[in-house]
Amino acid sequence: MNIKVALAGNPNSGKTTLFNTLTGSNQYVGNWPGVTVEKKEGRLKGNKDVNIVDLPGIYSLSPYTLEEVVTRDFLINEKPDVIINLVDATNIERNLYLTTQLAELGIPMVIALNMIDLLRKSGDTINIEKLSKEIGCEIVEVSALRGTGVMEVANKAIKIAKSQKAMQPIHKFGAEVEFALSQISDFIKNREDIAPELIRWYTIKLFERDSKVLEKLQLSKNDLEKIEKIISDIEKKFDDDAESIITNERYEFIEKVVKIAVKKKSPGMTTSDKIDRIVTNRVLALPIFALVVFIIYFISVSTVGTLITDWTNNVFFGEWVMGGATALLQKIGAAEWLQSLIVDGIISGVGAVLGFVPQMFLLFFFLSLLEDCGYMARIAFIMDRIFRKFGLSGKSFIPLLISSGCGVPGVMATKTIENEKDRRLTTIVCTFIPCGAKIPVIGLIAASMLPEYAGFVAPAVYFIGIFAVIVSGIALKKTKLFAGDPSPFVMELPQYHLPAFKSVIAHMWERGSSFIKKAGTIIFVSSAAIWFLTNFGIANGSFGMVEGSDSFLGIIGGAIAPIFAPLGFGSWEATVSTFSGLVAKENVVATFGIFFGLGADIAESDPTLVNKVAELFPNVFAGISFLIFNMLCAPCFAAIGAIRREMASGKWTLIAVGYQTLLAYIFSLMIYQLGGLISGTLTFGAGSVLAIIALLFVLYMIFRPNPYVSAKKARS
Amino acid sequence: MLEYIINNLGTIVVSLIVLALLVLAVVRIRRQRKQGGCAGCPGCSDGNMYCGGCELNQQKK
Repeated sequence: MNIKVALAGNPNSGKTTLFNTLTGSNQYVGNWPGVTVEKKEGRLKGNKDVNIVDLPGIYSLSPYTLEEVVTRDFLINEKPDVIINLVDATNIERNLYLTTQLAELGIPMVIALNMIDLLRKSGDTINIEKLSKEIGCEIVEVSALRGTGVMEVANKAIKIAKSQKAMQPIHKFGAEVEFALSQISDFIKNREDIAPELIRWYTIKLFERDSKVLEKLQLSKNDLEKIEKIISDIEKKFDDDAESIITNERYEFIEKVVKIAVKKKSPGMTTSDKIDRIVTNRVLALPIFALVVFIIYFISVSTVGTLITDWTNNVFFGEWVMGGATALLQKIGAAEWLQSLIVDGIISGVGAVLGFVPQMFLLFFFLSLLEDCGYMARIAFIMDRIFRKFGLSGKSFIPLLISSGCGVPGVMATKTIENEKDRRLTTIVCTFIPCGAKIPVIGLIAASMLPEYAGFVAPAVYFIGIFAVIVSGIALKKTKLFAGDPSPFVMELPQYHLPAFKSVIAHMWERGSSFIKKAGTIIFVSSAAIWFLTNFGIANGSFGMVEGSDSFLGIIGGAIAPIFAPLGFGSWEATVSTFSGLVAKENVVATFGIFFGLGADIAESDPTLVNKVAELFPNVFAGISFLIFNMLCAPCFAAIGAIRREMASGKWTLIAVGYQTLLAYIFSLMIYQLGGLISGTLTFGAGSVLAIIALLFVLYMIFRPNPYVSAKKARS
Repeated sequence: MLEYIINNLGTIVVSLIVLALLVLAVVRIRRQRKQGGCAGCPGCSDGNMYCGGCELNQQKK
């Protein structure tokens, strides 16, 4: 017998952690609400007949958010054999609100009372027997993170599913509401398209005027008028709207249940509350956030990160791989062009990227730590206060946080933003936050142009990314395409807890290993292609190996390079590297490695590459301009594809990519021209005039009055 | 001809290996793109939850 088990519960109640333990999967777990936006399926370990579905976290079965729609549609249309309802024991009142609704679906249900270890630590107690009796279903104490009670809840769910005993909700509304519900149910109880156990749920939804249910049931105008009359009468009696009446009655029931089954220690501040008093403090929150980001990027990119990267490049690639490959190829008598392809092309390109993998792993390790302990959720909360002032909501910050790992999931995460204008705006700006693939570019330019301050460059680039997001938010919100108030942002802050070492390492490995896989496919192929296009061309009318500037890439890059001359990097090498970043951002470094044909150390710590790259730029501002352009311009093709999918429009994709590239160009132009002018490395010229016009334009876009702000809001 | 092959055996064998690896890499990239529209980005290691294409792959399996 095949059994379908649905995991349902509030956001951040531990569904995915339980799912991973039950199925042996390695799905991404984040310690903030809203990590899972699509349902995921897996087979129970040791029992292939049991299919487990992890559903997005929801607070209710109302159809207001994407997560609610996904979960509700699955439960109603696909009818799982049993529901495991994850209930956060430390926040039982709010969690039981969903439980009362799940119970009305008639699907057999077992409650997994999760985070029981945290509850015990707090000193509170829950009487399981009493709670089970009041709710009307079996309850198992679980700690999904520690793995306790996990198999017990699965076995109980299988047993209940096999018994096929429909859930009978014990909870009843007040007499007047129940009478109204019974009247409404008369209109649908004989319909063949509604399973008998779902009649009560549909009735309650009709009472709440649930738009999706009304649309689905296609009731006659006459029936709708009669139902509306029943609801209006109750609303008049209660002096409240129907949905609020149901909500209030549910909470009254929950209050009663909690009184019977839960014993709370005297109310006081929890450890999380105490930490939050400092971490989310109005004055201290931002400096703490800045310090945390600085430490993470400082350690990842310089200090410890550099030490590991140095060894990877100097010993592993420099001595072992390159030295070994050269010796082997010479020994077997491989042609020189082939040696060049393998050593100067493929190994240089792929090695340049792999050399940075330790730094990426370190960055992902710290990001995983922040996520797991609960601080990431606080960052969204802190940034909401700031973003709101600039027209963006904290909801936009979740995709930005995810983008610090990779822009693709960051762009995909925007789908949870209901407001279309906000969603589009967030999609456009989220790749401004430097992703892991940009770390090699930052490391290389920092070591080449600002060796004394290399450790400060990575955090600075991160903050420039946030600055670009804020500037874009202010400027674009004043245009017709994006005008409007930011979406409301409600987020539950999870309890702080010590990160689980296993999950942090697993998460770091999952993210970091993908860069190794990518180096073996995309970077491998593009390194070979770039080597070919850099070493071959047509000279004196015949095809063959030529000097770099006469090669195919040299000619193409040379033709495009003047566009970047005002930005300080008008050489064909820098131009081609920038374009190669469209394949993957780390390809910028791989391309430099191939251009300079270095036989050995080719990563950022190698003095030869560092010197060669430094020679490309006339001054430090040109190097910074190159870096900023590559950080802010159009992202890689994978991210552009994600933008295309999310925008569902070619026109909007062009707007997004065009805006990103234009903003990058303006920022880089100002950095190179104005920086050069102030430092005296450049004299006043046409470029300076362009930069001043660009600066005035940016200032105008930021400080001009918002023509779309409502008169009421303007007065307030 | 045979003499040319013997003299350049090292080059020919290594060239064929490199070519085979390149073809394999291209096939893998194409397959990934066709299946999920993703290109091995770390997004997929974030649990495949954001890439609709990857979801589709799982369903196909």
